[in-house]
Amino acid sequence: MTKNNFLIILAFALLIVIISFILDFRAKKYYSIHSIKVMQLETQAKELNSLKRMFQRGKTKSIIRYLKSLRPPSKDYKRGGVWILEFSNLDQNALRLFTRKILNSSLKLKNFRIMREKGSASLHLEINI
Amino acid sequence: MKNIFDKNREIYFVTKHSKIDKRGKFTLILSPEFYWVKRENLPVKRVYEAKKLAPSIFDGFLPNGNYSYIVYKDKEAYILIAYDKEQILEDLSKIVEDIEDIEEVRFTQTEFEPKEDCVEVDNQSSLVWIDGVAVFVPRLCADEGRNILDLLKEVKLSKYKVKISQKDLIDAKSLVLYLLPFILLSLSFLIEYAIYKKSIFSLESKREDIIRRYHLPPTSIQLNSIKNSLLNTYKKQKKIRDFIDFASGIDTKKGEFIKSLAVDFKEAFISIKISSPVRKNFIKKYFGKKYKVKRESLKGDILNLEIVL
Repeated sequence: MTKNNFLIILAFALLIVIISFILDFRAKKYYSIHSIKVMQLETQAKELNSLKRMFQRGKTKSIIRYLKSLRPPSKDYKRGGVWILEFSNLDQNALRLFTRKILNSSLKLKNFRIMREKGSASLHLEINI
Repeated sequence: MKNIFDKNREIYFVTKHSKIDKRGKFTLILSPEFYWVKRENLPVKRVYEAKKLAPSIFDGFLPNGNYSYIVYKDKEAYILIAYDKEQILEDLSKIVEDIEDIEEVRFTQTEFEPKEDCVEVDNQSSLVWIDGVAVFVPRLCADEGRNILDLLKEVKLSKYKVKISQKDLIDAKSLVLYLLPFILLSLSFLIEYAIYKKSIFSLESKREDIIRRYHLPPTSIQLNSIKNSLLNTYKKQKKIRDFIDFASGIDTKKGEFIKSLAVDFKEAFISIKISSPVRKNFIKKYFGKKYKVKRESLKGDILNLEIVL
């Protein structure tokens, strides 16, 4: 084989090496970037899922139902996407129970008000629904 | 193939069908099959000027290759010889046992004076000179002419010769050896590429699976927007709950209690019945540890605080 032909074959081989290297490099880069992105997406999806579940509309309604079962509210109406509830004549234990339940719930509180007078208290809640 | 002993050196005339089995150093005179010749009248005075024109004179006439040129003057005209050294080497490698045995290569055109008669080369070809240019004819002379052996006996070698060496040729074994690293390297890259491609495919499937499983929006902008909105809600709710928890943790003295408490996600109003005016600073300091007290007022024994969340 002549040197010329040899050099042509060698150049062709080099070209193949370069092409395969570029393919490999691009695939490696794509994989390293996208594997991080997919991991982030999974984390975000899990966070989003837990947040969505926390503030589910159905869950809000069931908590309100539960609060109303503890004591009938003195005010109970909805206004512009806000559920207004008021519980009156609560003794200290009842107030503590209501407060603890509300704090541990995922109710979307817009306003939380306690007023105490002469040994009893009233609890006013504005809940976003 | 014909030969003659010239002192210690053998001279062979070779055609493309020749075969030389002998070993040792020898000189080869190539038949016109191996090269191209032109006789031209050129408007130049010197040989080196004519040599510069040689590539353009042969342009479009020669097959692809890496050509060298020999030019010399013959009366008023120039004889131009174009040869591809590598091609000659490749052809000769089929004729001789070992290329290294070839001392030098010469051309029929430069070594023999033009003859009037046909010269017999072997039993199937001959040489004739047309207008001073040696031509290889693949048939016998019509009349019994001279034999190439006779010409070789009286040949006086010219100054035109070509040195060749095995180094100019590369055998298949060397080629494989040279190519092997390239092949291995390329193969390793391609294997790695295939592995990554497979991983990318499974990555894409995983991504689609996450989107399907969690009912995610198609774009990341929408996803971030929903997430930020929910996070915002979460932060606001946490603020409210944290404050209520913090306010209920206040250390009250006998007769002290929270009279009223109103919280939204921006601010809080708290009224506390205190047992003595000195307790005001304690309570204010307590809330000041975590929150900014925007306003304060004391009406009788009721301390009112407006707090920024």
